Amino acid sequence: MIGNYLIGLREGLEAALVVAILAAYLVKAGRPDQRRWLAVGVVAAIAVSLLLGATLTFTSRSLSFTAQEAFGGFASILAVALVTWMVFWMRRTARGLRGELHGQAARALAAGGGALAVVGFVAVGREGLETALFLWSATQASGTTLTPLLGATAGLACAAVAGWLFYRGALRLGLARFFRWTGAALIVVAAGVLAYGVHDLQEAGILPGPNTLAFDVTGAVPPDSWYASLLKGTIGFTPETTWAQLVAWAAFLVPVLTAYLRPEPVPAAAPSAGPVTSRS
Amino acid sequence: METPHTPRRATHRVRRATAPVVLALLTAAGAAACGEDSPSPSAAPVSVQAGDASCRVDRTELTAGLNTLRITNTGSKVTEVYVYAADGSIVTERESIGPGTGAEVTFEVTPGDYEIACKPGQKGNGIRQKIRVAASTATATPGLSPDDSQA
Repeated sequence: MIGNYLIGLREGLEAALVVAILAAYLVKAGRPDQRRWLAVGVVAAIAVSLLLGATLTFTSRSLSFTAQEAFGGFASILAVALVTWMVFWMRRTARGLRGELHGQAARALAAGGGALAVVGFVAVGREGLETALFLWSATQASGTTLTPLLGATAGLACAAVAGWLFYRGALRLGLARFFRWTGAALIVVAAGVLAYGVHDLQEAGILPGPNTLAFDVTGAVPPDSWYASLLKGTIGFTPETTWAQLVAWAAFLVPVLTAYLRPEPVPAAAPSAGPVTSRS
Repeated sequence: METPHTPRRATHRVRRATAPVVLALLTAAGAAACGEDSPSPSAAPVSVQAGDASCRVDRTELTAGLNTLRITNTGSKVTEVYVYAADGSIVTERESIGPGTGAEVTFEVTPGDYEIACKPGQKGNGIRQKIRVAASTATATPGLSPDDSQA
């Protein structure tokens, strides 16, 4: 029971955390109505993953291993790019908010609905198939024993609750603190997603070095332990990490986090109209 | 309020076009990826009993082409099953096989030596079983012993 529970928890957390933070972002940026676009993407990803997973489990159709890993790898990298863009863009458009967005910022946010749906889709869908396959095998086993399915759904449910709690908690933060810390958290999570994507591409043979480990701490942190599951589900830490993963993780995290935490330059000139002085 | 409109509008248009394009690309990739309506392998599935300290494979001689592993996790730990080629590259794998569950993995192989690895606890090199893939004898008649197959 516990093994299946931890897998469900880990897989669920990986998606729930990103979605929760993005949803909180939308509320804090003054556009709670945009959450529905995020939801559209998330629901689509769940539906597609479950459907594809069921097809692969219950029919004779198969998906090549390389295609599966390549999708997971590229989708993860896409998720990182989109989330990073969103984090910086939302902070920029939310600054100077006095309750209403004006002009271009408002239009951009409105047009970003499609982009939000894509982000939601990729954030959940990148590992969606793997999770769906796991869930369907637990379902298949329920003919003999219900324990795997109970464990799996309990794990996923707990992850959803954790995401919800994180969302509510983040909303309580003051505006400045919210954007600083929640944005930083999302960048750390994204770094983990990048490392995961690199590993998938290594397994697919698209990137080299799947067996060249930078470190192996499986003795201290067994992958099937609860702490390993939590670490993997949140920051994407794996007890066996390849060099490519470590380099990609650091090469992303250090510059992006530095750029994000750097204080924003004070915006020049007041927006109110004034006489234009000519210089000769 | 005069602000430079042109660069903002250009990026705004690009952003608008990007989202549906990306979504379409993703869907297309997904559709293409699952469009493999592979014929069922002619050989019977290879049964893999993956335990906490064991990896039992019911046969070690396979035929080139499509093969299926029918994996059962008979232990209490989460396990993974990999098929490695002679050069160490991964032919196929299935991770996160929870205790009490199983999985079917279909993959394609060319003649050669391979290894099936069970990794209880999802770590390490795993418990390995060597398997050999022989060239498919397309003209073989059922009932004949494979005496005439290449070594």
